[in-house]
Amino acid sequence: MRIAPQPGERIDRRKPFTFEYDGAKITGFEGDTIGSALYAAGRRVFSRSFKYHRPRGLLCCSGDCPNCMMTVDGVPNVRLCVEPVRDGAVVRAQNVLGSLDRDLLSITDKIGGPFTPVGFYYRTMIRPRRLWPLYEKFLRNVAGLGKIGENGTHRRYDTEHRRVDVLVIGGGRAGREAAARAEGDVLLVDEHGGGGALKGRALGIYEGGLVPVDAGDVLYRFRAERIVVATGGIEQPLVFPGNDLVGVMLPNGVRRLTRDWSIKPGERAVVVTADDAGLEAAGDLRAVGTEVARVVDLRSERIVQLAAVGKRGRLSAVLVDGEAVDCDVLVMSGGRQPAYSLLAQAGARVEYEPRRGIFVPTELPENVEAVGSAAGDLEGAAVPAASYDGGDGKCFVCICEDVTEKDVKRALAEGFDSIELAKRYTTATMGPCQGRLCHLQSIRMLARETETDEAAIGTTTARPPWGPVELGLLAGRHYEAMKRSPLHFRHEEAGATMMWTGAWRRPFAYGDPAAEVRAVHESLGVIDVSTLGKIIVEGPDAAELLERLYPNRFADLAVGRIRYGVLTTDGGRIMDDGTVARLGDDLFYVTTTSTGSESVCEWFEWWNAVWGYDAEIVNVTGALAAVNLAGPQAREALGALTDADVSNDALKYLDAKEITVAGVPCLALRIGFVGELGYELHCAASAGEHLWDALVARGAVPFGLEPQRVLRLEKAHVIVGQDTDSESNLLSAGMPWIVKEKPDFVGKWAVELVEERGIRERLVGFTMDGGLLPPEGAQVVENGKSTGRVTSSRVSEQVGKVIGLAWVRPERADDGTRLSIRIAGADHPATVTLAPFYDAEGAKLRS
Amino acid sequence: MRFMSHPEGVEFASPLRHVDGIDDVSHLGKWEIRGDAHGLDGEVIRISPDRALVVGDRRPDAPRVYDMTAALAAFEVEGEDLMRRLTELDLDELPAIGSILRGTPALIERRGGERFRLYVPQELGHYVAETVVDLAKGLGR
Amino acid sequence: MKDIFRVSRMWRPRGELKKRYDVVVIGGGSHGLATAYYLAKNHGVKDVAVLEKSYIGSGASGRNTTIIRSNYRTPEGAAFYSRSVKLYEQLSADLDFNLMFSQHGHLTLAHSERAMVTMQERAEVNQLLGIDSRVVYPEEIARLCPQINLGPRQTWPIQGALYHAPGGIIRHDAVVWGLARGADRAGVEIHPYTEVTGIERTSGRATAVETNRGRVEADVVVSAVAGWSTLVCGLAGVRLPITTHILQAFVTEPVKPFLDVIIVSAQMHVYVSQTDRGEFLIGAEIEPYTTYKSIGTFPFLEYSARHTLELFPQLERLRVLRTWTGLCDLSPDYSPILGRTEVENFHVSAGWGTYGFKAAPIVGTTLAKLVATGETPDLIAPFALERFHTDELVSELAAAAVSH
Repeated sequence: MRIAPQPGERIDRRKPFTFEYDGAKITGFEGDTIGSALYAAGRRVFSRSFKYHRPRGLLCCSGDCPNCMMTVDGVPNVRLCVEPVRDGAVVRAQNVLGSLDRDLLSITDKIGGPFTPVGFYYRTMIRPRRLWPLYEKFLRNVAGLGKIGENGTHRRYDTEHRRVDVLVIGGGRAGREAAARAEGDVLLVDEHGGGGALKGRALGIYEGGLVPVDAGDVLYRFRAERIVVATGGIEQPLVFPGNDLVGVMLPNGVRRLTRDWSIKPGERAVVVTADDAGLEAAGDLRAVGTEVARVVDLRSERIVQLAAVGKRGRLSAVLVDGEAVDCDVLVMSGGRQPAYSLLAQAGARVEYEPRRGIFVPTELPENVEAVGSAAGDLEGAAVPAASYDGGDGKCFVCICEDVTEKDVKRALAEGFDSIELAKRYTTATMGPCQGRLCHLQSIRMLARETETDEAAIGTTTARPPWGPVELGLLAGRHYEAMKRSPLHFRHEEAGATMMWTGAWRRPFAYGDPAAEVRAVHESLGVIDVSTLGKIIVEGPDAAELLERLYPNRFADLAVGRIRYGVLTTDGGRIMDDGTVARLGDDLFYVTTTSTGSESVCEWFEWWNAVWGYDAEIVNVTGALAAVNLAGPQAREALGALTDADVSNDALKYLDAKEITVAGVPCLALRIGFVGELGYELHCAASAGEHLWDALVARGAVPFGLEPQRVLRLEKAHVIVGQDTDSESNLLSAGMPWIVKEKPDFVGKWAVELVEERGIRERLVGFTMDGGLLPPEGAQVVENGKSTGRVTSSRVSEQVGKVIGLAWVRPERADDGTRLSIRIAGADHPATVTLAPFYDAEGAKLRS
Repeated sequence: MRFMSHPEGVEFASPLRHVDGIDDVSHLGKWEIRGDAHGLDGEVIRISPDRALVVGDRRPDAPRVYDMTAALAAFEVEGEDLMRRLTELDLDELPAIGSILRGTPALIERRGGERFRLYVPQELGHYVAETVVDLAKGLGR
Repeated sequence: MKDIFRVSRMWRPRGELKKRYDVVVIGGGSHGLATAYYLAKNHGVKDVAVLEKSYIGSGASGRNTTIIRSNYRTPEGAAFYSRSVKLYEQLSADLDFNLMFSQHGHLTLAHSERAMVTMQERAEVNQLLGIDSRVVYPEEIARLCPQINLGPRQTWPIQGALYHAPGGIIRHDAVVWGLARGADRAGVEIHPYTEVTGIERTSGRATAVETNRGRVEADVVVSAVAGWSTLVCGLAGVRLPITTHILQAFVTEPVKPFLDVIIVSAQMHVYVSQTDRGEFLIGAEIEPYTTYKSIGTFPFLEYSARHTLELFPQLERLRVLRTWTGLCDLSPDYSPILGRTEVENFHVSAGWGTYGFKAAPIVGTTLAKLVATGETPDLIAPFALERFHTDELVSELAAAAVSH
């Protein structure tokens, strides 16, 4: 019930807002929260509890507790006490069967139900096993709070980076004073804003002075040289029977209702307090006309009995040492506990102070400071009992999870005798309040029950975030890096089907892959290979560096010539492959796989540094566009676009030469990944489209990755990472010819070891006897057991068969060996074929 | 290595050519210097003691120079607020190389006032530029 | 039923350490407790002490994301985990403790053609071993998980998935408690807050352990300490090819049932399930750097949240409640190191990366057999530490990259 306007109220009665609650229109004012407006309109029950479905009402009015969570505009678990009123909001109760005032599930409170006692579910429904899914379905349905809406809200969330010298967290008096004292670039952040503070909640203190701040739709990632934590103290509830009844409040709940929102909380109140906060609340109540029938100051009055009794979950009286006082409001204050979580997450130790009955932070990390209540600077308060007796009502230690004193005692009696075990068994402190209102209570009770002290029990690990935070805010904008070749838009314009290969987008095919294969075999094709890694290695030691990196020789490579190379790891595993062209005595041009450019570059730089060579390693992957022009007409087409001599004598197979094509200077590499006469042309990325257009205009048919895979498989060319895995070595991959006799290369010892002990599997080509295509990943089987696997397989029109590569046992690796490959549950015959399936002698490449 | 350089008479296809609303300066000449970069002409951005990027039309006169004109997309943005949504680099300590967005490498320099220039790998240029335009929208631009 | 209302102790309170035990198991997590449990149950070896430096289940057993599955890539791995799943299916009944094992199915998403091949390979390997595992395509994914966003997406298109119907989630703490109770009832002593500080060897044999509560002799010592394996094995002079990394996870506030199946995306480094309590349990991949320091990072929360929303944009307003980290002991081939070491009678369970919890019962039965009989069971022979010397690795890399 709203009282007459009073000085200092935080509402503007000239600005009404109307929202909908359960079909009724409710009006509040600017400055109200949905919670305060509902309270003013007479609503007292705001939620039903997690397990027992007990009615719960406003308790903290600070957004800490679970008592006022409802679903607002389809968003579950909104804390109404801090959710500002707004026009048109649709507010619904959650986790009820029926209504808040009559929730059918509250039967669990009356009859014990399937959730009591603690750990009940571990001891039931074990046999028969088939009934468990049914029971579980029931458990799942009654658990949980609000419901996820069908669709997201598509809110825009952004992320912003900020740097400050000093970040002060908490805008209370201590925080404001610290901010005023601090030097340099200082920023104050506070959950409620105001007083020049940025409105937001610090989520944690991470390494490097990172403090993410939740400001609703912007996540600020602060980097601070110094962090001052002034998060204050958290008002603590008392533990007594009926301590969750509607009408039982913390002092702040009363303070905000009366002072900020000018609401009279009830008619008659009792106050039980360990500190001044309760006395102040008593004053607030009197000021709005609530009768304060009894004040118990625990600092001067020792009580043994305290209990709240109620009707239908609503407070009706308080029992204090045998005396019953009728009331509808009970203010309980167990003193304040320093809000040390951020500090503990950052690495501070937390120490128990028996005199004051609180945990205080000590041994703060460097650059972190605590001030005010958060540092333990709190006024004197009585240390309340771990719990008070006085009736048979439920006595809650943790209201989020409905954990009672009885549950904690039982857990202890069963052997869950440390705070961490008791927490996990009872689930106390694991609910939405994140332990704010139950952590100390759990520790206190464990200490009493185990006849030790709170210091011996210790705290549980503080875990970020400090305050629940929306996934959307953490996620920020949904962008993800995408690499585009310089020819990307030509592919899109040509209607190519694009696919992901690593971070790159590449054309799968432009139309019919088989037709593109045919074009390469019969006339002329062109493929964008700009994604290949490209590295320049230059310097007096360049040749020596490559000689030691690769198992084969490069020191003897003639200028203008190209050699295929495979890199192996220290352990002799195949790492990457590509071509190496020598452009000058001290100048090499190395290509790598599309995904390997950065790792190969790092690999080169690492060994260059280790060996102390004088060689520059320059990653020029992005600087250059590259295309492969392939097919029987490739020379003719190239010749028409260049003045250079591209005859078979002037530009032989495995020659490298700089020529100008269609006005674009190119490095031409005559190599043959796809099995036909071909030229790789590398040019400045910015001229790539120009070159491409000229080649296409000359009749080259663009072909995509899929036709390229067919073409290379016909040549039995290996794709590193597809046909090989992290364990493959050169000998088992069928490339012993790569390994040359020389004093040293990376992985030499491992290759020698494999040579000595023999290979355990072998990569071979195969053809299927029938026309069935085994999927890549299909297994080679013997007697129903897996003895190998297919890594590549395609239908080849050119070969007229289904062809592929597979790993098999060395005993089954001879040419002509019969294999069985399992396809869709049945075994199908295949034959090992060691030579390339197409143009085995490589005559086409050299023609 | 003429093939590294963009030829005259051929239109420069910028990696940012398909992004509206981005101030594209990718065409500027960019040269990576290995070794000592002291005494070079043009705008010299030192990357490490033995690496530098020279921005200018003329090829610098140094023993080891690599033409990175086509390798790097370059664009300019206005406003520290936008920069703070792009990177956590210290905007008072530029030029610097670091990460923008979520791990994309970039070289950032201040062009006076609240104007900044960013150089990014060209293959990521389109993605970066599109994202920058989106982030600017978040600031109401 | 009446049992449930009677308070009965799960295990005896910690007693004095004896001077000597037949077997000392270091590590009171799921592996150590399972080993002790099966030693007593299957082999009658009851003079066993489990030494735990903190509370039971304080390490990886209580920090994992509770997923049980067997759809591994290598025949060795798949056969091993397949036995483990079967044991898990019976474990509630064996222990007379409901571990809440819910086999709602497990979907490993593939966002690229290459990933689809990996899924195909795993399905083929699994099927040969009789494991229920197959490749499914978007239409079927939509049936199995109608909530998932299959719409057109630029970066992470869902091309298909590996569907493993027996995959599920379990209450991880309950596994620890059930095994501890079973072991305790069979006579095993459990010693929490007992830290091993040294391992004595006499002529190449482990003979005793030094602890913060005194010296204990043993005929056999077993190390089952996951993230701390390199340190504990180091005490015995056994060097392991293991690096230790952190792995992070978080839970959200509880909401009503939304998701039954488990969704994993290796390429997005995220896996998502909803617990019986209604919380979303979301985990990530192992962090690439090595550390023993269990401190979480904020970028983890950011990318995990983003990737979760790629899959389930409806969860945008759901709030994260709690994050945590655990330590992972990673071997070079992503397969475990299980069995004998070069120190006689010092056996090890290590190298578990992100897949140790799902192996607890099979590790327990096989290690117990090794300890009791001196013979290495065939099922774990491929995982011997020796393989790194003989170069016979069991590469789960393709599958472990698709972990959990």
